[in-house]
Amino acid sequence: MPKSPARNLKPLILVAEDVRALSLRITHVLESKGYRTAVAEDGEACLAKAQELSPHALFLDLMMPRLNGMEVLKRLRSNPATQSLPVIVCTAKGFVTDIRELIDLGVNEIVIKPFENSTILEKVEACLQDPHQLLPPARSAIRPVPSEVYSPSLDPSRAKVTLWGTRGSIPVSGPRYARHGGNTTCASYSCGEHHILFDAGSGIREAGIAALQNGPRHLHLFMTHAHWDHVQGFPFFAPLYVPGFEITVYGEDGFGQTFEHLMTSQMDRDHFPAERRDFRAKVHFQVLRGEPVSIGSIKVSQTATNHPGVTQAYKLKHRGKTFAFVPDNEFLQGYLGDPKHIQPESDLVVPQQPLIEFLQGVDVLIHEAQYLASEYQGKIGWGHSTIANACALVRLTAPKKWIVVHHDPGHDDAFLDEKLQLTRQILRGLGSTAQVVHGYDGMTENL
Amino acid sequence: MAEPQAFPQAFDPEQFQNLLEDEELMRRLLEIFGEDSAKLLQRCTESLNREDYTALHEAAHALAGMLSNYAALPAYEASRKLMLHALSRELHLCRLTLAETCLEVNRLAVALAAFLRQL
Repeated sequence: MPKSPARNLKPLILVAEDVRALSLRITHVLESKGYRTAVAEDGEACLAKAQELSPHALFLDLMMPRLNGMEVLKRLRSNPATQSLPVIVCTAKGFVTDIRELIDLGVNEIVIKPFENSTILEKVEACLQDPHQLLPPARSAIRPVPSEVYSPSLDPSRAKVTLWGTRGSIPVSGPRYARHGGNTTCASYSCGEHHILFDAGSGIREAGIAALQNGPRHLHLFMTHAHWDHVQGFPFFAPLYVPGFEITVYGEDGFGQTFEHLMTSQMDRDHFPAERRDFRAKVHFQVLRGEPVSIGSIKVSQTATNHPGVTQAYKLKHRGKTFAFVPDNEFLQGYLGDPKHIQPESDLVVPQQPLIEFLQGVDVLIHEAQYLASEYQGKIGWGHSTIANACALVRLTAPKKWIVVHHDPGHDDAFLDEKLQLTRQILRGLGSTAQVVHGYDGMTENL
Repeated sequence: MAEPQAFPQAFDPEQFQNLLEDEELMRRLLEIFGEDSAKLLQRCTESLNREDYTALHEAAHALAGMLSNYAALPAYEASRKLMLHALSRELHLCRLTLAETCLEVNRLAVALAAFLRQL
């Protein structure tokens, strides 16, 4: 227990503070009112002086060398000689968890830095008047700044792009894929009443469940092509089986097969329990033949990509913003060299000039970069780009933001993290200012 | 019309006087500034050279604590930014911010020396 101050002798305050400017200031303010002071410059010195000097109160900084203030407080409270020493904690940390921990340990007052001189005196005087009065558990030193409460809510009319599936080739599952997700390709654009989907990989199952929540309406689904990883979720698209929904599916005929057959041939009794005739929604299949589509004020246009079969890139334009969806495209087919050497007039670029013009300056580009050069050597002509070649495309088309999708099923989260760093490094080397991120299942991007 | 300033003011004398309310205390703080700021910047530099981000965070925290007594917003904010970058462990950002902090502390030292001469 601290001894009572002798007659005419002001109380002794121990100041534990490693920053000299602060300890000088605190001691100066206290001494100007007649208090006696002593200074400890680290946690260990503080414990020693608290024992030796029996101060009447301790001004304790939390972040100190050798022993931090929280540990000092614990030791003071567990030592019978110092357990009732009044403690004023001085901290720059305004975090609720830290404050709660301090209160649990037993403090008399808390001062949040930076502080005014008057605060030092107020806290010390309050502490000495009632040394046994600890801060109650419910009390927090953090107070909201007086103002009207600002509670914004999401504007439902704001356009957003959602990625429901970002994996290529085949779905994957397991903890190694948890952050990027394992569903195959699907994305949506929603704005007010409009809901437009792209591709029907396994990700469309989640997109369908989400679409049910807003009740029956007209949905539009644009298919880039009919490879398994882009159609395999179609039979699991719940709105197909709900009366009241109207669904228009857009795409191109294949080689020798109609577009409708490409989409529904996986729904025969041999492959799946439901068939085309089990749809309860009103479903249309519309062959595009290169024509753009207008849905209200939204315009969706298309051009071909370099991918086996008939494969489309889509560009959606709405309210002056554009986003392009190109999950499968082998840019610079067979090229394994440095992308710095690729110019707009390069022989390898010319065949994809229409695509380059189509993608020029979009706000958001969703495009793949599936392979490393080492992986690509055995997969030339499979319809997918290397990271370097995709970076060359980004340099030539200058999107504001590039979201990389169609992650290889062999690339787990750790590998994709490194791949993204490499992508950024290549882009920087090319002088591109495009922002690049990896898409993941559930990702939302406001346009 | 005043000319636009290339840098924000390193130090606000009026705020400094209001904060400390005492000339003797002001003099004491001004006297120790050079020595203490050099020590703390040295601690930051050595921690960063070792890529010891915990030590860097502690040193930057102490520096920010010190600067909070000098009504020196640019230097204080630079040191706070250094604390945050130390937590993020981004070497490149820490280097940039330490350089910025050194610059601001040097600017502040010049401004404080001028202020002390007028006291």
